[in-house]
Amino acid sequence: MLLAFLQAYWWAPVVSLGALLVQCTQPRPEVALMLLVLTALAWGIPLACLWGQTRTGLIGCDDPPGPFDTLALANTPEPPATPELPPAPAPDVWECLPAIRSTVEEEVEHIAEAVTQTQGILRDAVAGLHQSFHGLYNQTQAQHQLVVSLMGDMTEQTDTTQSSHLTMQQFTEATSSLLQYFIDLVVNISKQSVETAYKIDDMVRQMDGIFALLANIKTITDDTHMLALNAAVEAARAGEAGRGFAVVAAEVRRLSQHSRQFSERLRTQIEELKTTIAAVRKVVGGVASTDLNVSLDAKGRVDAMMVDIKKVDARIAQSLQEISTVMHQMHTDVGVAVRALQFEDIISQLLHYTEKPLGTLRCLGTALGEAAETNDRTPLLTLGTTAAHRREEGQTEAHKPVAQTSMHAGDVELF
Amino acid sequence: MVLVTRTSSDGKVVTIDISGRFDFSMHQEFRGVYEQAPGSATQYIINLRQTEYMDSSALGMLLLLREHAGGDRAHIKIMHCQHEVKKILTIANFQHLFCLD
Repeated sequence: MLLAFLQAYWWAPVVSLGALLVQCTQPRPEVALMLLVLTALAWGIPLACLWGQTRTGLIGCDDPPGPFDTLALANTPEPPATPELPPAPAPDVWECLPAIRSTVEEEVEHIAEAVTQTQGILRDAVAGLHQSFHGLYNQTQAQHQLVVSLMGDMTEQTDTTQSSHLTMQQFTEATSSLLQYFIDLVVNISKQSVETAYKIDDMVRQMDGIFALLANIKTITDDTHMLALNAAVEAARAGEAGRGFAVVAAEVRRLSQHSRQFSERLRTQIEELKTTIAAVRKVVGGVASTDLNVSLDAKGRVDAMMVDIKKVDARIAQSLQEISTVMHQMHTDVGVAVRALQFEDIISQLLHYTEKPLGTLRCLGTALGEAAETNDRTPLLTLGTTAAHRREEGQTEAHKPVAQTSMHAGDVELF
Repeated sequence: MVLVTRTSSDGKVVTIDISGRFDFSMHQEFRGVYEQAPGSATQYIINLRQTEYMDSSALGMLLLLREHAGGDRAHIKIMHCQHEVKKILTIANFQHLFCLD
């Protein structure tokens, strides 16, 4: 402020300096008095002017009135019929205008750039997300189909004759019944073998009967032999008359010998038969005796397998049920995500609507530039009036183009 | 393997106690019991408390006893089976043909 004052009344200090010099060169009281009066006048006039200006209140505040204040003054509810031009701001304020204009333009450009970038990134990101979620959705569908078909396989009814493949349960049941069939077979074979053994015992008993008969035959042949000997002795005693009888006796003796040999051979045969039959009985005994413990173990294992398979089946069915639930949930969640992506529309709209305010700011920059070049306030005032009009219009309708402030589903309006 | 036979006083119930191994070596004795039993015998009791082992020939012998005693009309009880023996009788489905204890 002091600098401005000195610039305006530069002659006051110059006069006082000159007076001082004269005084120093010509130290005479009359001259001194004259110079004093002159200096007082030189300083008094500016001070008086200063005092006068302070009274009116235009100079004396710290900041010179800026162009925005002028605008604000213009925007206060005044009757637009009498636009009074406010007093011109200090000349130094005008020099700020170009700087202000360039700053405004630069920052507006920065904001516009950022907005465009945001829009671009948003669009790409959301497109990517859309694609990804739709892919996920399709995958869950496919998975669900697989699970359903698998469940169908697991719980297949046994009376469906068209089914080409066997469930584990059917297989185990078939195995179990096959095992039972073989066990029954073994028991039956054993029964028949034991029966055979009994019949063999009967045969052996009958052969013992034959042996007894053979023993009788032996006795008879022995007796016959003895008789023949006796007959031969008697025949010899009878002399000539007994010669015929002696021949008969000899013949009988021969016959009894044959008989003895014959029954001896018979006995040998039957002994051999007995041996063979004993061997047969041994073989039959082997067939009859099957250790059933192996079958027992096998059947026990198969039965345990059946129980395990039932458990596994139940567990699988339950797991499949749970998987189905999980996938249903995933489905719902994906749906929610896809719906949430609609935020892109809203954000795009919001970003789009920054263009208007940015446009206004650009106009401001231009107006500032024009004002700075032409040294005329009119463009600024026009801008202020237009802004005021627009604000009034803005207050009557919804200011924000999008009413949404949160992302709850159901409030979404699609543009 | 020992086989002991007891007959009730009225001759109607024949009890056969089997100890040791009930297998093929016993087949003649076993048959002897029921073939020599009095004609009035209507019920048979096979006591397997002391029987440690049974194989398929024993099952065959029991089936033949059942046939001898009248098949479906026969009353044959198999009693006091040990655990392993019972398992064998069960897998052969003897519970449908005999009274198992």
